[in-house]
Amino acid sequence: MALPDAIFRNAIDLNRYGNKVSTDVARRFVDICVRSVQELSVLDRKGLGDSYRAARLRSIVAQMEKSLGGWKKYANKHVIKELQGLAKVEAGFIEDQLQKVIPRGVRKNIQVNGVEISPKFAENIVSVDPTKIRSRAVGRQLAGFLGETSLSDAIGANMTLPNGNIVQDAFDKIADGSVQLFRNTVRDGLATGETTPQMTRRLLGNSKENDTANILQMSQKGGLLTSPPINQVRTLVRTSINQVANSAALTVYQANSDITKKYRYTATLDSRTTAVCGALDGRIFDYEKGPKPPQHFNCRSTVVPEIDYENLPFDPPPTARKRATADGQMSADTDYAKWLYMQPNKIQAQVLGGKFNKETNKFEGSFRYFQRLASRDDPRTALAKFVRADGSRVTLAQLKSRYGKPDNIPIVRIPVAEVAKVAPRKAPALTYAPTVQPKIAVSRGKDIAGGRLTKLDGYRKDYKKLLRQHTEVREELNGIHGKMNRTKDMAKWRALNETRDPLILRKNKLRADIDRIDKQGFQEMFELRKEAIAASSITRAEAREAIGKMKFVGFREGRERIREELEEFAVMFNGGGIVKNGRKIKGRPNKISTVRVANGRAHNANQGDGTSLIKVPNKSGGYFGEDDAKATLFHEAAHSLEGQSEKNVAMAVAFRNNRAKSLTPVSPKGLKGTISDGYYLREAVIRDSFISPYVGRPYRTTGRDISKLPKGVKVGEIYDEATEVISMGAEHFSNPENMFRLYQADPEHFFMILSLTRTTY
Amino acid sequence: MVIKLLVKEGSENATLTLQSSPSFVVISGSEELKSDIEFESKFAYDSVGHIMNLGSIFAQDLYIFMVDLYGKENVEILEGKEQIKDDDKELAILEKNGVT
Repeated sequence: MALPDAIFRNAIDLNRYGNKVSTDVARRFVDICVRSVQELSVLDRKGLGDSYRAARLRSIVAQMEKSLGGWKKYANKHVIKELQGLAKVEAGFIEDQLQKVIPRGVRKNIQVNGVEISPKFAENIVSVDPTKIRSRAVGRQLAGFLGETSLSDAIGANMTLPNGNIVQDAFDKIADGSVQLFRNTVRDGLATGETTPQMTRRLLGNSKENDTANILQMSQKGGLLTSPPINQVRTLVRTSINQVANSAALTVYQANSDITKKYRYTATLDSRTTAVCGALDGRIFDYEKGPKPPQHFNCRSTVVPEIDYENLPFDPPPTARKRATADGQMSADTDYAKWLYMQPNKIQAQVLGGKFNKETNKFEGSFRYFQRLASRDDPRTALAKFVRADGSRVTLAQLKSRYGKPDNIPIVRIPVAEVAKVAPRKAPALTYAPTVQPKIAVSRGKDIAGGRLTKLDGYRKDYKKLLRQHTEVREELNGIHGKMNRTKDMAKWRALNETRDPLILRKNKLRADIDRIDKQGFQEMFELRKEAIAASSITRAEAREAIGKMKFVGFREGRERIREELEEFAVMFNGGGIVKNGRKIKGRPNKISTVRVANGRAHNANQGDGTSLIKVPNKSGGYFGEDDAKATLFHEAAHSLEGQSEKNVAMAVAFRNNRAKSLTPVSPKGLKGTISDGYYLREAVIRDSFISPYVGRPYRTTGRDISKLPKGVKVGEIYDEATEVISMGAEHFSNPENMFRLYQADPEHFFMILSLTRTTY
Repeated sequence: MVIKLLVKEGSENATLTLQSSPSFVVISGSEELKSDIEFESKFAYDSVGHIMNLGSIFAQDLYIFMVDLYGKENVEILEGKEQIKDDDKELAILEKNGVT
């Protein structure tokens, strides 16, 4: 069982255990009450004078008071004894769980530290002055935990935990209140002529001595004298158990700081969870710096350690983590706010306040604010706004004064991926043979991604729209600037200047949105890249050996960087174009044998001996860090990757031609690419909506000189020496940001290149 | 040969300088235009399909890039007209003999 699962299961067991302890305490209480009430029957004897009856009643009450005094001592001692035993069991349980996290092979090196549970552990926890412990988060501290600058109504800071004093006080109050209630009820009953059976019924309900029922059944049976105290006992015991269990667990976690440095506050995902626990759910804190359960009476929250896998010599288990909710299992990253946001109006209204309005035929109330705020920000931030400084829920009146009507809260649409439904993909093969069919390559790429990129698909529409809108705003600004440059009228110039301000604001907003989407894809692409390198069919040593044999000419500066980047390319694409030799074909790029580090246009040229020379720049540093020239290097190396396998060339040609309506090249100047237009190009291209029109650039030989044509190609026949399909695709694989951009602009192109990371030669 | 381009955008002006072609771009003047150029370069390619690299760019590519961004009337070549023409000639030769 995974660690969180075991802890959740333990929480359920603790709940059952709490019921057992509280049943023991409550049963004794009920027995005393029943015996005291039964004594009332003596008052019914005929012929007794009022003074005798009064004296008899005083005697019964005194006896009850004495019995309940004994019960108070028993209850306090019994609960502390049970809690002490629980602390030991819990500490042992947590130690076992931490032990299970560590794989057998490394247990010798990493040991789980146990903790000594002192004889007074439980008593200390439940007996400390409540004003001196503040595990309950309130006021500014709570605001800090929730990421809010302030929380409304900083009241209730004196709300304290149900510690030993309170438990003891509570037992005292239960006993004293019961005696008083008993006395008053009997006195009033006698004064109003109520019979003893009537009073007994009112006081005890169906409670009986030596009852074998559990705590819940006892509570339901009880009358005025027994039912409320039974519920109070249950609450006190459950809350104390939660407090001791979590304190024991945290003590063990802190003793193992090399395994865990942080913990996750974990609430129960159902409609009975309080606002404060719901808002804290899923948040991660350093030990001793965050809130601890219980945050309130009857709190069911717990703490789960965050295992420090980054600094441990083993990886997390591969199983997908899930967490239990009232609706069944959900992804482990579902926090309470997200869960609540997915619930129907009825549940949201139940949790956050609201009711069904029969006139309007819809649910109304505080929860509407949550829905609007969650749409504007995110569910977690929205839920935090529902918590007051004392941990209670913000009222509808406060929400109204803060936001007006719910509809007044603007829903600023931030990019949220709409997850498309996809058929499950089969597991990718470790390696593939080259294919000439783009469709097969695309399908392989999808298998490699294994549905992981589906969540990014929802951004595509927004991404393209934002880029288009950005271009439109820029063009509009250009028009205004042109007029400003031409005008000689100062007033007109000023007027034009004023019109550009809102456009500049809009342009900056669009850029922020584009950047936000770019960031979404980074992690997934980073992982795909890492996997491609890890799954390579060649070793780094093989790549280094092949690169070591290459002839480097030109600038010395930058050669080391180029070697490293070529090695990365070789490992990523299984040696294609770097380690592996392809069939010699005239004019076609092949395995790289020479690297010219020089200024001038980067290119890849067949040397006539079946190998290629690539010319690449030596400068890498620039505006965007070290990767500036890497894309260019990947581009040129990818020409060799394509050319060394005839199947790769055939696949690239088919990919380009299958998508184009016409194979007649056209001028690129007016063509629109998905990311970039063709304004900068000079050579004719085959037209389609590629990431850039340059992807459609053909390299065709139709010459009449037979000596320039490869074997098998007739004069006048169209022959593709190369394409820009693989080179343009592979250059985007030089870093995760560019990979994501290609994925957004042209997913088929992306998947085809991804398939090449598993294609071996 | 130094190449200098002047971009005029209403009240904002910027000068882009290349010490040679190719080399890195030095942008002086309006911060607004500088941020424009940096952002747009992430979505641009040069004449031979390479992702735009302001750390090593040809005069011809820079000029075309600026003209596309701001319009021909807002971009002035202060120095290096010849170099831009030379870049174009080099590209024409290369395109006949190599795979770019």
